[in-house]
Amino acid sequence: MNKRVVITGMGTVNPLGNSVQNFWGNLVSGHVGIEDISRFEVENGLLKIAGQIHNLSDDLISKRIRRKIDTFIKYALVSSNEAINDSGIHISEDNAYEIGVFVGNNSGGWDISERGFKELYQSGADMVNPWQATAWFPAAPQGYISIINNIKGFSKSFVADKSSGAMAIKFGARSIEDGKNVVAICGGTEAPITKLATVCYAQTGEFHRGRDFSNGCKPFATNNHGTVLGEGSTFLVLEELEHALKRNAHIYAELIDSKTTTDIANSSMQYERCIKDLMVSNEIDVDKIDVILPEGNSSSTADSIEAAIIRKLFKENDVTVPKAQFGHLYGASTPTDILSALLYMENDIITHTVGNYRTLNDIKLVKENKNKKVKNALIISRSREGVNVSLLLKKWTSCNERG
Amino acid sequence: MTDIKEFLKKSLNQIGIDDNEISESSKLKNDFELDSTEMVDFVLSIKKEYGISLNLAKNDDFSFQQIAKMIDNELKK
Repeated sequence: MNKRVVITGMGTVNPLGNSVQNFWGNLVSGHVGIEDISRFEVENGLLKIAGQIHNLSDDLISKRIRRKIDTFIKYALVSSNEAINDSGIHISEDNAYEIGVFVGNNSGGWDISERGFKELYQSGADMVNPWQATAWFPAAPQGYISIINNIKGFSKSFVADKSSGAMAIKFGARSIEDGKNVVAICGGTEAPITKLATVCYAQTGEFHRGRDFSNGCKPFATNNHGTVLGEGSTFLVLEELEHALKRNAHIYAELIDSKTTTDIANSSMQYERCIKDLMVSNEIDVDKIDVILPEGNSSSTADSIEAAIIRKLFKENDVTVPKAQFGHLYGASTPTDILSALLYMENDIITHTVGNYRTLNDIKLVKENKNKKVKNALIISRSREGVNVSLLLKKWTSCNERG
Repeated sequence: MTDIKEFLKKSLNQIGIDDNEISESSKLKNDFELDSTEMVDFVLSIKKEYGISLNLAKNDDFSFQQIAKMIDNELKK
């Protein structure tokens, strides 16, 4: 029988806050973390607004490491550190091989790459900084989290567009279910708010090109808004249940199960199956799902597909999209949605989806913060080309001893 | 030589090595524990400042003082 997986630690840096506490405060208050891009001159750029991180302290990272890393690694180190501290896990030589790191990232390190391009084309190949080779690629955060924390267990990195972080969570959990790890530090990171990155992302044609952000990025709006890019990192500590119970860890929730399917971009058939399979195989009725956090990326094709299926399967359930307040974090997106769901469970509040607008298929987004005990949460991720991931979380209570 | 040593200190500071860790006899590998990329970073900084390409990535280990002398000798050529 597979081992059971629970969540015992949370950490985040994102446009709503540089810690879980700050994130939650701003999420509940309805604060919008999207703004005019201030990091570089945008007059010739295609994207003008984004969710940006401000005033992040990286004091916990040594000077020698700081010199070697890109921004997306820095975000991952800060948020994973918060998650590890929150879990109370002590990493030592005794357990280093039982702990793994699973990271989702879509597009690597843009700051270091832009620097490398400048060095190459302005000064020549022998003037390119040596970190170019080690800091740009999507597996670099996994490496640095492992090095800094002396983690030596089975670990992986995932690149799957907007579902990168969902895949990291899924396969981190599987490493525990299969007995490869006892603990998995799982999450995602993304730092695409650079001049070149925003041009590249904009070329997908999915992004908002204007400066409309006061009401968030309006997921599922009939008058399509377009995706807003954000940056950040969220990590969760996944742990084998018995291990967590033995050390009296605070357990936020059990990750009951997850499913993956693959559509073509404009098809919804596998998206629907991804959700149905999860519900059926875990024998959970629709009315037992207390909150749904869908992908809701504010682009027309993806929103239409999701809205139709959500409307079909979940007529009365509460649906909310936290990313309306901070943009799409790509690799960090689903981990941040899971974090939001965990905070709903902890605080007995579902936060509303900001903005007042008509929705596709009249799906009922939560429009005011709602006091509600959240026992079961469904999180859905979908990549641009149709990779679907559904995850089912159950709030941990002392009577959860299965099932 | 003083200018060269000041520059080398600054370059090592940028890599993350503090002044109080640096002495004339400190060696790049044994004392500063520079890894391969840090070594390239250090050599690049010298090249950018003086236009000199030092080959420090060999098995030998060089002290702060030796590096300063190597640069000084190259500049006198």
